[in-house]
Amino acid sequence: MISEQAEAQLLEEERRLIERAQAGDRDAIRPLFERFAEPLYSGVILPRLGDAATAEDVLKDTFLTAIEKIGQFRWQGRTVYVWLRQIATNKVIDVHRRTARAGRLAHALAEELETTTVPTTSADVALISAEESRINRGRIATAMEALSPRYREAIRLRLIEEQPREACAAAMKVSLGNFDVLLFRAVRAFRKSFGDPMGAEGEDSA
Amino acid sequence: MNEKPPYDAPPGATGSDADSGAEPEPTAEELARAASLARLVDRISAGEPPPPAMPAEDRLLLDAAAMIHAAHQPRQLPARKVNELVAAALAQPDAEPRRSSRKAGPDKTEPGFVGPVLLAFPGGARREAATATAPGDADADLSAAPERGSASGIDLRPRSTRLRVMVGTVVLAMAAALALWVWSARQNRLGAGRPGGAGLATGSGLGQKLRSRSAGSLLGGPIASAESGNARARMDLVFADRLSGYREVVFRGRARRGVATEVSP
Repeated sequence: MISEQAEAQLLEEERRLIERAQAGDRDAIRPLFERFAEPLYSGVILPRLGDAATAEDVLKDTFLTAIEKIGQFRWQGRTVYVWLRQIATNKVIDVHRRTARAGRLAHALAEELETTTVPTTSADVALISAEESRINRGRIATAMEALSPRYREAIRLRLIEEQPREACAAAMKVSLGNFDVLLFRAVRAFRKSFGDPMGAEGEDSA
Repeated sequence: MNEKPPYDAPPGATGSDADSGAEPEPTAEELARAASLARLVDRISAGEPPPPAMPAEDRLLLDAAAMIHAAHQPRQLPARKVNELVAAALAQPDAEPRRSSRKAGPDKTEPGFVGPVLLAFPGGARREAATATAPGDADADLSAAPERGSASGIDLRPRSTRLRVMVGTVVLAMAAALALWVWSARQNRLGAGRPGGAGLATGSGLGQKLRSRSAGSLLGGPIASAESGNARARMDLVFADRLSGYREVVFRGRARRGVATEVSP
């Protein structure tokens, strides 16, 4: 964690860069994009999309929108990351809305946006990343609480701890094929728990 | 092969309905989908992109699995890639920074700000007001085109707006149908008042003989039953009358133009 003085310097630097960008020097915003690209990508966009390629596109779109709307931004004495995060989250919701079946997931994300606060107003990128990671894990953990223990275990072993299928099957004392089915059902149940009840019902009836 | 069924709940297990007691045996389809998801999860772990084409339901499950994975195994974006994306965004000619314009009014830069979004009419689709707008979007963006990257293909207008548009369309259609009916009725009345019967356009300038009319006057009233089989003679009579009218129209035109009007045998 950086000192208050360093934090103040970072904020002052952001303010100057924003002013230059608002005056027409679009290149002035480059350092800010480069600084916050990582927490936006790995902390905000990718955990809400899952697909790396789409996440990269959304990150680029976030930058484009920020460039377009930089003139409307008002400096409030805190990091511009807050604003960029807002744009990125909106873009993520847009992506989810493009998929009809994911409409409820988009709705869940939109509701989450309204109810959660920005993790931090610090300009410290490391702190930002840590806070975003904490939020993301909290979201997942909340959804997983609704699952059965076996489902939670399957997800924990395979997706969180990244253990190979064979090791997961052995740990749960099932065959490889049966573990695949267990994980399949676990992910489906997770999705239902996270905010897509119609999606899960549709899959169940298939 | 003897396998312990995986679906018996372990002692003391609690949880969802799907896991209470023995889970149902998987169907062949479920087995196939589970195997497919397993392979896709391997790709997630390896950092590989998903296949470009896959069933929608499988993609949704894969996305959910990827979200769980990404939350706990954050993937760093290489610096080279960051530079690429930033350079690409800055190089876009359309993305010109708008110069700052101080506006009076409430500050909209608070994250999570949910503001009313006016609808661009006609036909413009704007996002639901419940969706938070990017801070700073405020007034200047209300009449702008949908921002780049916005959803498309799905009508995101509020239900009330869609209803208003639908009602307006229906009212317009009914008004058009009513106007057409009134005009048609007027035409019929005008046609009925002229010699030659209903349905005629005004100002046609045609003589009675040249207008559409009943053949009753030619045939002289109801046909006697004894004469009912002599349809050919009646048809010849009507045809001759109509042909005479046709020739009059055609040859009148030719006579006006000085063309010979001899009728070839």
